[in-house]
Amino acid sequence: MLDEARATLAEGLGVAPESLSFTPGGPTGLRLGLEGLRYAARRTGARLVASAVDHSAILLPARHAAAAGGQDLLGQVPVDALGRIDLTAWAAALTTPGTAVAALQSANGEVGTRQPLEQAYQECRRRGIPLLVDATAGLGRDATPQAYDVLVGDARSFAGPAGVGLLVLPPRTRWRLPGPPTELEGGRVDIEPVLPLVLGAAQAWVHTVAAREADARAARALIDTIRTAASAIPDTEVVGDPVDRLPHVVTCSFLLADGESLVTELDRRGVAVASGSACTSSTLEPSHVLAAMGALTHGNIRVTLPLESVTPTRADGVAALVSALPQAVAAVRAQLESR
Amino acid sequence: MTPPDADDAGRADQVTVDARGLRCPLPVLRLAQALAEHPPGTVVRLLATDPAARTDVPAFARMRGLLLLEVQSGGAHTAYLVRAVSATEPAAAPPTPAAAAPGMPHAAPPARPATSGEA
Repeated sequence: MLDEARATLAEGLGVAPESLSFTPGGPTGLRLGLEGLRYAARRTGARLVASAVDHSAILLPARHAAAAGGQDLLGQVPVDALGRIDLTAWAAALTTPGTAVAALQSANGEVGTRQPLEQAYQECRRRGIPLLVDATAGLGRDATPQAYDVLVGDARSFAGPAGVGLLVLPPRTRWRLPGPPTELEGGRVDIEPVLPLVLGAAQAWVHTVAAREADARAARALIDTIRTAASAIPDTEVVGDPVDRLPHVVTCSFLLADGESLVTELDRRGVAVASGSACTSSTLEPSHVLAAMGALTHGNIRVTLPLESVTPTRADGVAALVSALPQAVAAVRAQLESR
Repeated sequence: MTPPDADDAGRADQVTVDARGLRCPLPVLRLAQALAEHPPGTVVRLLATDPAARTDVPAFARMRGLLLLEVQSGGAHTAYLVRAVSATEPAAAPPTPAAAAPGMPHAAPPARPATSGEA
């Protein structure tokens, strides 16, 4: 049964079943993927090049290692106001001696912006630097990336269960973990996959991709209505690329509002959204994605649309958000003004 | 870089807003209120400890077409010098947050405890 699920998912991703391993989640997949690339390339060096908006599972350990190592172990490539990497800066970062590995997301899960993967991969290939592509934000909802040496996904992005990461290692990729090889998942993971979760992931994949194009088209139109409605509110920024983006994700920033109150105010009106604001996170540090883009990190709301097959009322939810948003923002701003 | 506490607060065309210990979005709100209360051309010197202000003050300046003249960091708080642009004066591009962020020590913790929301 595990083999069947693996075959289904591998076929969907366009790879051989032997190239696909299951990890206990997307972030673990990212960590393992990177660790194996780095160890296999240890004679070249230990430096990682990644974008400033990549996943915390990639950036935080690398920043920690760079701080502890006291050497140039991390090259962070800046992004523009839309959240997209500058390819010239990407290429320049790769030329720094000791660069062994590169990582780049296919698209950003907070603001939706897609990265120029093909070009970024060509720059890596030219220099013989392996590229890990993080597709955890959009796998199944958007076209599957083809330009990579390691691909990592998370079943949650295609409405599968939490706890299933996908680690894709084509035979051409030089990848090895330190220490003796494990007995599991082609020697790549030391935790056995949980069968019911993997079966759920395979089933979710089949359902998601069967309706992908129609669902993405509808989601894209719904996100556009949110973008338009939010833009009409004064002192508001809709963050991320309006067109070259994931179909189902958007973040809006409202000046002089706080995200937590906004989420509460919307909730009171029967609309559920998330906030990515600095003031609602336990660390008080602003979102590294919004900060790297130079975007406002307070007064944020983030919408990640579910699949229509999972939440048939999603269009109603968007309509409710669009109608409640102007008044909710005005109410939160008025509350704040009086403080 | 000038230390944050260099005392030039006595100038008539400059006001200081102390938002130390306040969490976002209050530092930016206090800055907006001060700009609204004073004549155009006034330089507002905002003192803040909230780490989110490092990103939000430049973003606020960009959205409102204000000039972010200077960011002074290095002490327990950061000072931001902001001025409204008069109608005849073109708005200049504010410094990018990336230019100010690296190597900046973490600001002092806020006076109020953090409430946990979405972590």
